[in-house]
Amino acid sequence: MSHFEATNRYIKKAAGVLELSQRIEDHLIAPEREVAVQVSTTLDNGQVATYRGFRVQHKNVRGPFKGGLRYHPTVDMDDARTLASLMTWKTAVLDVPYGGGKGGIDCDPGDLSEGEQERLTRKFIQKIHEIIGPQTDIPAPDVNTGPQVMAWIMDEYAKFHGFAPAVVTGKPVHLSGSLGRDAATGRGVSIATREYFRRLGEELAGKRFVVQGFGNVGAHLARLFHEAGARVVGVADGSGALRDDRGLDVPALIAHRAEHGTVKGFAADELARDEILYLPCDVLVPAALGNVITADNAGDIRAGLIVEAANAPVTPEAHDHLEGRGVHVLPDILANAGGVTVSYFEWVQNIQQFRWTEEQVNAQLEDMMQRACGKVFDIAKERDVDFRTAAFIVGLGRVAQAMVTRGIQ
Amino acid sequence: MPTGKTLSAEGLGELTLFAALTDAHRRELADLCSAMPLGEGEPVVREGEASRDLFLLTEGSVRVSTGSGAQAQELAVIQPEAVIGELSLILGEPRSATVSAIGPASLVRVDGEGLRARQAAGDPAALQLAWQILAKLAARQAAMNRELLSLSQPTTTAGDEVSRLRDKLFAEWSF
Repeated sequence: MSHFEATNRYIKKAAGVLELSQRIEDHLIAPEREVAVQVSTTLDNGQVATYRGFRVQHKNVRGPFKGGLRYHPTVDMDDARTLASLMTWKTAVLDVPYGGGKGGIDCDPGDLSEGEQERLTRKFIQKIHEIIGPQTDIPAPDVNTGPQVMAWIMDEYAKFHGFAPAVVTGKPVHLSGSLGRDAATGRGVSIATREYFRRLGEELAGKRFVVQGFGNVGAHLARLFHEAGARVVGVADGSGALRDDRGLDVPALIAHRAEHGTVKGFAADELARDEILYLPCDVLVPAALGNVITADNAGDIRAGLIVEAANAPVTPEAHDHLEGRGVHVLPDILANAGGVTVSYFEWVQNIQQFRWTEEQVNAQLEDMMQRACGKVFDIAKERDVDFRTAAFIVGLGRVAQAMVTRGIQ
Repeated sequence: MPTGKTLSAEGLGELTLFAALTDAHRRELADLCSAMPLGEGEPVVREGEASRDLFLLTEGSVRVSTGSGAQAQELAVIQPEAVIGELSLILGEPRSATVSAIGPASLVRVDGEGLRARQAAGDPAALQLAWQILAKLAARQAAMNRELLSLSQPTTTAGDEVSRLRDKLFAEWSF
């Protein structure tokens, strides 16, 4: 099942609970605009390279389109369309005033020098600058794009429209970026997990966590779990996996990875990378790629709760299997929404031309994540549905409310 | 099938199906009619059953359903004055659905085989009753035609659909 089909399955389930007609559902699923452009640039060796660039603008009834730009050979219109749709629901779940967008270029940045990436980025913005803007569509970092790419986007956009840092988020902190943006997704995951246990009258302290993926998101959330008194009993990155049932020394592991570029070699038991998913634990956090928990391996999961820090790490079949045996899943559109929420704060700061402290950013993130979790957990309980369905209900419901209030001509 | 006492001609006169008949015709038909009281859940007819009796619901309500267990599907809930079983009476086919009492209910059972025999013999009272049954069927057909017509045309404008959704979203949900 493709990502697109999986997303539509979740949307259909939520639309069924909301009793939306097929016509309304069709209207909500369809993107507002899909743009494909040719992006050609000269490489350092003088050759011409041509790529395809995409931007899908899904829905903007609640605010400007918002979503990442990824640089990856698999980027295509279907992918962008699905991810743009997810951003519409995610921003609605968090109640940030945005719609959904997504896009990217089908290049492999591993094959490109920094200069080539810069030229490619600028060329892309030359092609799409008319459809983005601080009140129109606000790109952000995604797979293989980071603060530097965002800075080039801001600069290229300024050539056409003047200084407007709010056109893009995820910028470097010294260039109209926001403090706290770096840790935002991990922090949001930790807040969502804590709120889940708080509802049960429990706390993070003493719980056993396994974190699959130790990049920006995984490392930050492992640190936050560790600081909250939880035991991180397993971590994995692209190169290997570690376990320590007494709890890993997370700060030391982060320092080790910063120094060596891998978790391997750290003083803990090593195990096969995939085995990390099957460790007994209270919470399993897939924080790397999609589709890691499938119908084939869901039966081997020994966690009590799965928190989707990555996008779509649990397939729909696996999700149903897990929920069927009482393993709850905190869905991506709630759990990993801290990133877009702090992107929103960055945009607000750019428009205000006033920088918040990191404490202010974190306090506002805490407040918005708490409210979103509370609403999703309430709907799940009231309507007797799983958390993913509840999150899609909140997302679809808020978008539908905005849509019918603004009116459809 | 539980059956009760035979009804009087006066009793039959209170039923809409017999109201247009003469007293003489009602007296002639009275021996085909009997009262049938039912308790909650008791069946009037069962799907697939071979029977040609006709039933008139006088009190209570009955549920019409097909299938059983997980496949059971409720088709309708019928209120008093309704005629039940006319398809089997006329077509001679097994019952197309199960009909059972929702709570205590009262019905009048008309002996289908007896009625058919009298109609076949050209009995005027039986033919008069057949005409009344035909009138019921014709009324049902007319209602069905209207329903089909409404289904074949757009029933609402987009504005109506959006208004209904708005009302529902804000009345039934808190996001």
